[in-house]
Amino acid sequence: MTDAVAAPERRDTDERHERLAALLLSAQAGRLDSLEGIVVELSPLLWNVARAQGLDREAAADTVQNTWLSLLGALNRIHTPRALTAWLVTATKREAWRLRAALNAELPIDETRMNEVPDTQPAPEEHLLLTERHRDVWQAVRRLPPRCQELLRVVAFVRRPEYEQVAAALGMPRSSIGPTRGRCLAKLRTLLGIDPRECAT
Amino acid sequence: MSAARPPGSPEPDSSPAAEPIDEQDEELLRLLRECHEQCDPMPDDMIQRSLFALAASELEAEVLRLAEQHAPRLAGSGVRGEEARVITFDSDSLTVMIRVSRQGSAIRIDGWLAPPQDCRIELRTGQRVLTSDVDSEGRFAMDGIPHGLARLVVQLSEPSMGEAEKTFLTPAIVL
Repeated sequence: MTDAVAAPERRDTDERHERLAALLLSAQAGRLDSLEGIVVELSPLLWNVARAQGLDREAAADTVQNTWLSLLGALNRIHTPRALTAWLVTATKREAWRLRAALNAELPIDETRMNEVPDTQPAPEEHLLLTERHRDVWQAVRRLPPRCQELLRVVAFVRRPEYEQVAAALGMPRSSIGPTRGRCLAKLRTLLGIDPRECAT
Repeated sequence: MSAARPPGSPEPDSSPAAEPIDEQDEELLRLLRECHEQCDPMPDDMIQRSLFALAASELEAEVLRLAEQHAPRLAGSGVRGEEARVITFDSDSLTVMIRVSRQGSAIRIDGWLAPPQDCRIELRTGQRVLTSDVDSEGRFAMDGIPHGLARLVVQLSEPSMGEAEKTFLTPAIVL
């Protein structure tokens, strides 16, 4: 809006933002298909939030479904797409914790369950990854502290204008990502040799 | 594509973490997103399940109850694939009856709506939404329907005076 020539990425972001704003308004007016549009648009993000909280795939899918149900009661108190995304991320995280606590209480020492726990951060078959570049990024990310892995996993599924709110919703410090790169991305770049001057070794 | 190093190099003493996000950061996040999509994709039916859960508790829509279901087994019938199932949904003001039959590898629905009224009817499956008009006698038909979960959505296009547009939903059924 401020720039005379907007970058393609920026235009794409703006369009998505406006579309989400329109869907939100019309969902609030009771349109089922608009609500469905929001579900389709934001479910991938919520899936990754739930998985980043250490839930197995089944519990993560339940968490996402419960989050959408809880949105119904809150829909009319949410006024912007950014607030919607932040609300959903917070609700997913909270629901994930609730479910995890319930599962732990249910199965105090269940060895089979324990064995599923490393499922938290997927250990992908690296040959599945698309390119060598993907493998490099993946390996570097896995060397970051868990908090950074969680943040970057989730932020990878939101657009730039929402970084800051989403980081805040995850309980990350304000400076972790937003208009500025933040510590996690800076570390990732260092690991990938993008900022050689930062390489300590 | 190939984003060369931006010519204006950053302040030598500023921390990289304090620099604005640039194209390379966006690129790293995109690669990371693709890694997660590849290695840990959403379950195929997760969105579908969420939509069904939402529909069931949708505030504005009236849920049509499953009233009756017949699956007549035509013993001795020589017609292959002629296993039709008749399902009736109803509410205080609307009844929908559908006859579900097999059509090659897909499914066909013939339906009747009572009382007949001007409306749009949709069948929502996980992948797509099929729509049909309803004729003056309340009949509608849809074919080429994939197997799986689906539900009908009836939207009255001319609500009675003073009323908001009214929507009816059926519970999800397995076709």
